[in-house]
Amino acid sequence: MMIKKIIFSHYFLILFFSLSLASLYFLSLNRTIQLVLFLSASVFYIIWGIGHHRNEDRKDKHIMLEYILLGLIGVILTLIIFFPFF
Amino acid sequence: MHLQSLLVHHHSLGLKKRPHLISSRALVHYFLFLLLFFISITITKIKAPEVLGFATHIDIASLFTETNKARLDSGVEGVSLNSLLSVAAEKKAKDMFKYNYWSHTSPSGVQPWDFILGENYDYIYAGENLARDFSTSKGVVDAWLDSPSHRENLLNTRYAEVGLAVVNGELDGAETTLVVQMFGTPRQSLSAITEPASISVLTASVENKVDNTKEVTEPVIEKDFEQGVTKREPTIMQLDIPISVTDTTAVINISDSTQNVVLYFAILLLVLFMIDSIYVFANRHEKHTGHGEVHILYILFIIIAVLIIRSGGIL
Repeated sequence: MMIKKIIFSHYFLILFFSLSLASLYFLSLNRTIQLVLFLSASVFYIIWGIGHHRNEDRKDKHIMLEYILLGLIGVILTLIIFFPFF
Repeated sequence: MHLQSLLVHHHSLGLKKRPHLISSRALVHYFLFLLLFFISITITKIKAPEVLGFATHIDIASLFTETNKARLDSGVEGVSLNSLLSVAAEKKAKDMFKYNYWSHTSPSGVQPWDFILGENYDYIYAGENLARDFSTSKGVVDAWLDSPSHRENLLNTRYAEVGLAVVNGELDGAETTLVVQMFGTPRQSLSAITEPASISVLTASVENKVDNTKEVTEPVIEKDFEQGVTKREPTIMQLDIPISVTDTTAVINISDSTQNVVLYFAILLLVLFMIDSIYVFANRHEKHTGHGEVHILYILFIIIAVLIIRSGGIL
């Protein structure tokens, strides 16, 4: 049951990233929408990481910190990418 | 510190730590470095906009050259640059900024050929290709060639002349470079009228912001026009003088530069996480860290997303 949960959790993350990329590619040339998609992916990643490891019962602060830091790096990279357009 | 522990897992790191280059401490440093970079470019853009600016490497001369190169490569006769069509293209681009639309037809129903006829260019055939957010002229023409409908327009044997405009402005609240390419074949004989003269530089900045209306239509391939218009002989400009047009005075193209920084940094991070994950997997190390494969997936997402937003759109 636990393994099923973990696999589902991974699929869910892959699905989210795939849909975000598809939206970026097919739906919009609007920079504001692109910015929102980018930022939401980073925020989702942090939430997913924390939630996933809580479910796995591995609430280690090093692990949580890793997701938060990578998510924050994603946010700052997003700001750098979109900064010239606004 | 063991050198090995920089890149891959070493027993001295324990079970809870990653190699030094992707450790939590390293990630904090990367974050602070990127934050500093972001603050620096923000201050530079505000204090010295002439150094960092929104810019592209698209110009009319190279667009014209690339267009004719594509036609000649396909065995189609080249087109000549026409100033009336270029003015019509420029007006179309400015209209798109003014009324904030990305379409062949304006929200009020103005068609591409309305701009052409507005310049008293009496045509038999006319067509339009649009592009936005590209950074090079070759990129624009290559994208048009990759799209069957735009390719048909670009290589259409019925067109004798072309007009081009590259205009910077604000679309949907963001800095955008629009490229408008208008094809036409005048009703009159072309041989009678040639007027080699200075070629107008069709670049401008438009800052109007209005209603956000979006409509997408198929490119106009050709259009017969039978209504009477005031005839005026078209001016044909031979491209026998070099044109070098860039639409900015900025020293550094900030859009390209920042995207490159992000891309290279993300690739570096991806490689570091992949090396660690492969090493751990190959050596069957037991570790209590986050999922390396998930981090790799996230970094891959960033890389692909940057590549997507780097590529412009055509219509």
